[in-house]
Amino acid sequence: MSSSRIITLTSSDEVAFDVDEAVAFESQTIKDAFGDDRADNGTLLPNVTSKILSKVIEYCNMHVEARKFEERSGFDEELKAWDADFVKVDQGTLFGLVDAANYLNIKGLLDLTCQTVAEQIKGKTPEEIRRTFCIKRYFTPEEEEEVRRENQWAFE
Amino acid sequence: MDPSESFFNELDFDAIVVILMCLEDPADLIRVCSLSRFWYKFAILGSDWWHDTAMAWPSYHHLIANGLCKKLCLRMFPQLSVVESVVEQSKRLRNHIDIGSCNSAEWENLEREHRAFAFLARQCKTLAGGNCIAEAVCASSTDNYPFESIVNTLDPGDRVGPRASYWSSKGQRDHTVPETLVYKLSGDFCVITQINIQPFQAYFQTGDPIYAAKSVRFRVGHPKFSCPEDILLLESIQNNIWTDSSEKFPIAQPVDIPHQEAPESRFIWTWTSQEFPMAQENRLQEFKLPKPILCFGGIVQIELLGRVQRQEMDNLFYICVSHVEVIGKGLFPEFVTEIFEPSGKIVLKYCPNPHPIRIRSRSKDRPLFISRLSTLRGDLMQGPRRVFGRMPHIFRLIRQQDESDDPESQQHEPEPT
Repeated sequence: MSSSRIITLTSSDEVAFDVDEAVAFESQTIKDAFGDDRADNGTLLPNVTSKILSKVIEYCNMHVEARKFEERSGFDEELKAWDADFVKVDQGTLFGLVDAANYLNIKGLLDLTCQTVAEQIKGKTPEEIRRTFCIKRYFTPEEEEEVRRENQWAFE
Repeated sequence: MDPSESFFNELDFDAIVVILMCLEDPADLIRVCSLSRFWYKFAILGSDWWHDTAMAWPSYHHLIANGLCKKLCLRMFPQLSVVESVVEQSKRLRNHIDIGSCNSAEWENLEREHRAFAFLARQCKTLAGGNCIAEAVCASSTDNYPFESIVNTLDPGDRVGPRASYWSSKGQRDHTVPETLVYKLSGDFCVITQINIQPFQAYFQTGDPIYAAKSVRFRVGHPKFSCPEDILLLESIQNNIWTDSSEKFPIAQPVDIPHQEAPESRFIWTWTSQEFPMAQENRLQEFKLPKPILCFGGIVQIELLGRVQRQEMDNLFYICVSHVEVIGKGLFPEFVTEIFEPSGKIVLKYCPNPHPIRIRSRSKDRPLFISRLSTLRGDLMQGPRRVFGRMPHIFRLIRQQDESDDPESQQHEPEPT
């Protein structure tokens, strides 16, 4: 049995991370890029900083390991708790993870981080959403009034 | 990064769609729409809009089913996928929000859909339903017609005054023969959450037998009138409703449509439920649907599967039901469905500010099948009714007596189709 190869992922700020093939292949993008081509063993990720990349690798490591314990009872809750802790980060990091998960096509991480962002939107008024995410106002006051009037029920 | 800039600006649009689709409450999505012109357009069009060039308007086929409100609604109600298009009828002049260069007709269309689906989603979430059965349409078989007809199931309880009020099937030797009851709801477009059925306990028979079924199954749909024979059937049903102001006889009953012929051939079913086991108990049993179900066309069928109770007298299996309720909410008058035949295409009409009095057009081009069905019932039973239990031979004697008493009366059997 051949040992699985090590793949080197280099971040935008030129920090190199050596990861197991199995961990790297949590990313569908990387999996598609490397596939059966055994000659290549590294790639540059120009869109991902080292700070984000290290978190991404931490997530992939955990989830690859976790699959070995799938049958154990109570396993699901433990993993969920770990995931919940994992996304307790500042907004910049959270959005960086969303972006990286999307770019690297890691479904579990994308769902987890997007759900976290959505939780921060749920139940908030537009003003609160604007404040939380620093969104600039682009409607004229009249246009905003029109949208509110059309959908009065959503603002009650 | 400039703290005044939003992280959202950095995100890829596919990611934004994933985030917005995590919002389960449509109210949250609407609030996001009001953040800025960009968000408004994005929520309506989705990321496919951006994938084509940001400046030019993408071709129409890229925009199909991209609206996020529509996606949310489709997720809540997969039955919505049969709706081909949504049109809006509103007299109010709208000030359209300027969203830059675009094809305004297509944009208006999408805005309309967005508004309609947003309203629909909200109505369904704030559901406080009641019994929305308007009429009984037909039963697969009826014993002692018309005295034990399906009409009796519209009254709560098993009695009306001194008289037993229930529907009874015909007797069968084979206990696996099913029965069906078909009802019309109070609107073209309803959301239903629960169905209640009370089986009938024959308190006048020895042992007080309960004539329940083993299990029940539900279907919703709309009438099908794709061939001339069906139109004729509708005419004959309408003709069978006769009025008799005499106090002795019940009047205006829906006819039986035999099970082997209908309802499969008379209706198109858009949703079928799982089988629910029925208890052999004389109480209003509640069958909660796994999720709210949209009913286009307002027709609900109750299928009663498996007979359990034999009648002592003739040793045949019967099923009897004393009361039926369909709990839900009619979305009329804000929504009207039109079903075009023979394509079966469904168009949803959304009227945000409905007028209190609506006049339905009956033009040849677009027959409104629902309103024709609503004239089936005519007047309800009037006058004192007889207490006929499960004693068919006595019933026959009394009927013969009545016929000789009142030569003007006409008892007729259900017309064969």
